[in-house]
Amino acid sequence: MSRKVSMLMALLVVVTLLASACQPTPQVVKETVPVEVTKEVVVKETVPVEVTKEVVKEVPVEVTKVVEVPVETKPGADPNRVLNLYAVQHAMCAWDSFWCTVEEGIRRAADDMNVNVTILGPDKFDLERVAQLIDQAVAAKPDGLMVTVTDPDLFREPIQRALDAGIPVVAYNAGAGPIEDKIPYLTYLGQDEYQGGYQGGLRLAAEGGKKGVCINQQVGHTGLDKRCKGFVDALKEKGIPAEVLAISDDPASSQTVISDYYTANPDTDIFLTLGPNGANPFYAFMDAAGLKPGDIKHGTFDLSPEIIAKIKDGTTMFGIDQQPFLQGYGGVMMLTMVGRYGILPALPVTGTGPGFVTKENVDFVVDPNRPVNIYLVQHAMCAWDSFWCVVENGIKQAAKEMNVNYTLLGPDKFDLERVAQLIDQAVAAKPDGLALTVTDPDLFRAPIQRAIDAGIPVIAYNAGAGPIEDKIPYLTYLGQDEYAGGYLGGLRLAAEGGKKGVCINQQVGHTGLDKRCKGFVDALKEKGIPAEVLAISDDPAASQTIISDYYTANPDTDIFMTLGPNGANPFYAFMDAAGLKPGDIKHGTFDLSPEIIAKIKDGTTMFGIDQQPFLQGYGAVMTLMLKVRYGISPALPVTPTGPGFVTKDNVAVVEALAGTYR
Amino acid sequence: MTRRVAAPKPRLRSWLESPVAGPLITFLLIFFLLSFVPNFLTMRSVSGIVNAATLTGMITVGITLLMIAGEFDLSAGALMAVGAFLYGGLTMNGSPPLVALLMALIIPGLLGAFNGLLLVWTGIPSFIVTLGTQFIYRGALWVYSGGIMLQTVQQIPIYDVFNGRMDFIADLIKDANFRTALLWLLGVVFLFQYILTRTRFGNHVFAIGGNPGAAKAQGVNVNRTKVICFIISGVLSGFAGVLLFSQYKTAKIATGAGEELKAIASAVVGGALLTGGEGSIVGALIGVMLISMLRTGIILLNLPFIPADNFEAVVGVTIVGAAILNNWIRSRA
Repeated sequence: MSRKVSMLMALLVVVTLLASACQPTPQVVKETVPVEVTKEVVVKETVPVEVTKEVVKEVPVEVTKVVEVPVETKPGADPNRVLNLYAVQHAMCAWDSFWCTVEEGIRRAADDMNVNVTILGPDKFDLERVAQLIDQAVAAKPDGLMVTVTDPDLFREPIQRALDAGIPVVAYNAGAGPIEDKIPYLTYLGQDEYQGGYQGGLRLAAEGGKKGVCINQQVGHTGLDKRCKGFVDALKEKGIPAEVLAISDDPASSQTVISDYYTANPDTDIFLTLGPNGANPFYAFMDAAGLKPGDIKHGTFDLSPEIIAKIKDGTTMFGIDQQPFLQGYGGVMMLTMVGRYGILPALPVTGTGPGFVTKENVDFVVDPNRPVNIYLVQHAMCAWDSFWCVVENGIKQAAKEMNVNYTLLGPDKFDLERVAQLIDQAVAAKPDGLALTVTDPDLFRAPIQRAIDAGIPVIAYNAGAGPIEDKIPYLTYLGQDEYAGGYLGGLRLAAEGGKKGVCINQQVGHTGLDKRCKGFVDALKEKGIPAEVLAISDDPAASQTIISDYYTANPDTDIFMTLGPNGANPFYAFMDAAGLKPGDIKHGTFDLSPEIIAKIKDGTTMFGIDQQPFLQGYGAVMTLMLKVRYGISPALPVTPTGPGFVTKDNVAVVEALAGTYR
Repeated sequence: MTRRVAAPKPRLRSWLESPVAGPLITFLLIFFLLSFVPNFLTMRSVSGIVNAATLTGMITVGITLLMIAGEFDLSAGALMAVGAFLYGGLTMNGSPPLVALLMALIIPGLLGAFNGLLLVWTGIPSFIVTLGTQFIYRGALWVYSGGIMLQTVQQIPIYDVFNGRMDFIADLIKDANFRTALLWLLGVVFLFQYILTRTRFGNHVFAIGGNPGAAKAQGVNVNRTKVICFIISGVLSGFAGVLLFSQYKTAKIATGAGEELKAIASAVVGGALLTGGEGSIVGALIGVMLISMLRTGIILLNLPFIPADNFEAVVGVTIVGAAILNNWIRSRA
């Protein structure tokens, strides 16, 4: 028997030796099949922002600020490039204090990222003047432009001129996203109103309740209606009936309306107000009715001295902040990502709010110079998986720019038990923040909870599904929004119409892949194009024939979506065999591979969707830094880093930076 | 079949007794039915059916051999991935193509030998042994590759040798996109059909599958024969990986996952018995083609109540149906 065992061992040794003689390979592709755990879709709706924050004071003179000395720049994406950016906004710190916070965000980001930003704004509320300033900014040929899209119709032409000149444009504070505004800028950074109402509702209903009411001072205002809809949806999800109560501008009559409603519905115990104008009569009602903090639950949008006092005394659970600092900081960050790495914002709307101001953080003191020590724990390392080098470069770059000290922990091989131990190790070091990959929520739940209990801000990156689906109350998950990837990809493919679409899914039943297909099908249906899912397998030969057969049976199919190299590969073989040329049909895919990059270049494939791992690492550090120094919390349970679309226009940049930044 | 002296009825009877009869009748029956499906009888569909069957077909040959010997190899899919990785990695490295090919055949072969030795030395059923080793092999591959997917866009002549387009046929007949992998598959099928029916080794395979005790008593080295069958299955799985990489130039950890079950299904449809002692390589090839043909037929039917993502169920039903029909024909013969 021992002879047999030793022979088996010898055989294994031979195999190992032979195998190790064959060296591992040069050209590699990392598939980004999404983690099986699902991710909630956050691309809810785009949001019109209440523009009128202005308290117009008479401070004349057009303010033009130059942050840092301008430096000569060269065109094209370059990681070391010094960028010259312009920000054009409809109001200024000089005459509206709200904007001081936005401008502070811009300035801090410019400092951190070593870019130059020139802020232009009118000396009083004057949108015609703002339109002129946009043209003025475009004439300066900046590397990026951020604009408050206060009036999309008025600004459409000047912004379009900027885009035509090849200048990347993002909107901040005011806007509704490129789709609703009908201007193809990159993204809008502002509050996601629906999510504000929804998440506020979830917080208010966390401990149950009998009945909820959303007190709306301006029914018919899209933004306010969205807040109420989110609130009502959240409560209904928790099984609590909820409705909207309309009040008016008159505080006295509003107080009476609230009081009468409460008399008629005495079991109402959850109240949401949509700003100081609603909170003010609400507090008066509470006072008159003799209601004490704790009798009912109240949350509100926005902050005022009165609201802050009520948060402190426990009457109000939270005030929802749109986090204007983040609008400025994030705008500069995104334009820097575009200019240096060709990394694009993932969604048409990038939520900067809701940020929740509660009893715990209402007294937060901002300190831009506060030292930040963070820990990051991930399930794989650059040392043994090249995909992670890009993530780690993002971490390194952000830490350097923002002056953050970080410690990166990871196992020396794929070993989730070990990762769980490393999380505990990180918690024991009492860092100011912790970022980790939630590869296995069940296994990591206990260690992550220990970190949260110790008061450490925790975020997830690359792997996870968001705090709600993972059932771990961390702040946010930075990763690809799979549904949005399929949906936005579908919109692109269907932009010029089409007859029939098919989503080629190599693993039906995989939640992440199914979401990609669902997004695609929804987008096409929205455009009136029928679409369905075609299941293929791991066997490329069988898959090729399945696609071919499907095409034979459905010869009018002209829009194809594949979910990664595994689907794209037999698809290209099918095209080849069927004699289809670039232009005969439209094809988009998730992820990149040498083959996909070649096909994007020759026009066969319209785009490859990238999860932008650099941004996952960079964003993780930035998010924790913003939390520690500025008290800014991520707005949404999922902070999308992808889809980032790689097209013929930017494929060269992506290829050049592949492996380091892309 | 060449014995013209036999009377008509016994000749038919003896033909029906051959293991190919059941699958062939089923195949022809389904082919006849599907020929009414629009676009089914086109060169595009026919070449598609054949191409889709090449990879599974290659594995099925080894699996069928083992099933005749009364054993299973669930690690075949994993060995296919091993073969694809070695061949792909080495050719991409610029190693001599012949070395790449040999490594992609030898290492899966040795791993197949490991399966066989574990079986004969421990006495654990091969179903269990290979159920375990498939995870071991895939795990080892994971470590070896670092979990990354392999892909290239370079074009090396050897790729065309193993799975290139046969343009001269496509030029002659429109849409006849046959590939060289088909020739390799046919070559392997006829080689093993010959070995199985015309050599002493083939006799031994049938003998140990049908009645191991009797075979041993007759002086057949049961263990050695089984280990050789496992080696063959390993080598052919590795070769399937070579064919795969040659056309698609891509390999990943999950390559070949589930391929072994499709191969077993094909072998069963092709007349092999799960209990061993019966089956045929040509029958198995018919089985593979039958399943491939059905899938194509169902997709082409474009039935509104069978969405594009659920034709597998119909294929499954038919596998069971074909097996029942085979048994019925066998019992009537």
